Amino acid sequence: MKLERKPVAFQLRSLLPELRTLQQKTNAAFQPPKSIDLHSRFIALNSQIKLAEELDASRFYAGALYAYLEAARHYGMLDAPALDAAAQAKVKNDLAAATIRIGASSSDDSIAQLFLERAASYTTHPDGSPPSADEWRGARVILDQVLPSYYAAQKPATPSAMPSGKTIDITLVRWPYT
Amino acid sequence: MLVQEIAAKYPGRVTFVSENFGASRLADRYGVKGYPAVFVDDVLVAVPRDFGYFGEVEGTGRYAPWRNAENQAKFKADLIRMIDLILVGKKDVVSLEHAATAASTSEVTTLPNLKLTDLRGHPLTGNQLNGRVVLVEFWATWCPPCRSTLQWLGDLQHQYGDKLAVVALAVESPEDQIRSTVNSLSPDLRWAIADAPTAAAFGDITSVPTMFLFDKTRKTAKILYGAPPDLHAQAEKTLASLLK
Repeated sequence: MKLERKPVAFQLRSLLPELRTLQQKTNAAFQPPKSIDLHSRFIALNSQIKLAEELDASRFYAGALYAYLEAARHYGMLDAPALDAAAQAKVKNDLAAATIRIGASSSDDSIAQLFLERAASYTTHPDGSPPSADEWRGARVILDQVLPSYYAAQKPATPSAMPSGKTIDITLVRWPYT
Repeated sequence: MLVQEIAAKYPGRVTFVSENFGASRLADRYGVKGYPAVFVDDVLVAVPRDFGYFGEVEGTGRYAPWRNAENQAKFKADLIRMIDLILVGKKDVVSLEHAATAASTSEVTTLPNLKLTDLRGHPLTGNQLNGRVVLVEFWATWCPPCRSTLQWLGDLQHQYGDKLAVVALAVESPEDQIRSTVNSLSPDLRWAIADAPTAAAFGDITSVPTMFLFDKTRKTAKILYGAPPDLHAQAEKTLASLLK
């Protein structure tokens, strides 16, 4: 991995709303035949969500973000279609564009860069051998689902990402005479 | 401002409740002594010392000193995280994280050893108070209720004489203003300026007035926070039982 030290780090935050949403989507997707055919993928996906939640609960937000993105990658692979030659060419172009975007950014996007370089390793083998169909799919998922999740995590969580219905009381005990 | 921001972030999801110290069942349940305190649902997440106490050292409190913008931002971030956790059904995580907060509400049980110099320049030590009922009042020049209490304490000292030692300890106030206030009130009390270790020895003074009553064996008989309408009556009742 090639990392340049960038001076600006974005504000990490709790990803609980996103993790809860992803867990719900994962549970909904766990239906036959997918739950049987892709059982190992579901195990990996659920374990990454659990890891992310534990890291998040410990306020290790960078680790939680990485685990969340890894979970998003596994989730994306559940339904990722095979790519034809034109789609494979587009993956290469999109990868190049994403690499330029991160290179031009002044912030520390090293977590995104981990995934981007993984995608690049899928599509370009050092020995010149052709990528597998799963590798093309994996690169597409990183571009279409992991990177957008990464950039979304830099924005404040939206209340709509949370389950509805529950309310919370916040009570301030104060001095009554002033 | 914080309330507005939280309300905007969680429309219809968060209700803000204000309860009076002395009439809060939540505070009673956790044994919270003093104010302010903050609960998220029924989890105690912040006690008075979190928001600052007299003589605090920068960075020692979780949200203190409260005047520091960074600490306010930390409180806001923590509050949002707690709300998020509870909304996704993880109140147990919040409770676990704040178990230490709930356990930090103990009060001083005996008269701490005083090592001060009074405003006349004489040593003020705990040994001088042995065998007497002791009333320690923490006050500040900018605290209007403190003035009326100090005047009343002068009357008490006169009433009980040597049986009672009244020590008035000023905090967070300029010395010239302290001396000016003392000169205009009763000079018969033991007046001194509380340093940080003294305030800490009394269990962190987070608000004024705060009054401690100790029996002749130095055990804590009563602690009165703030200046409720029946403050004097409560103190007189306790003193009467201690001095009978």
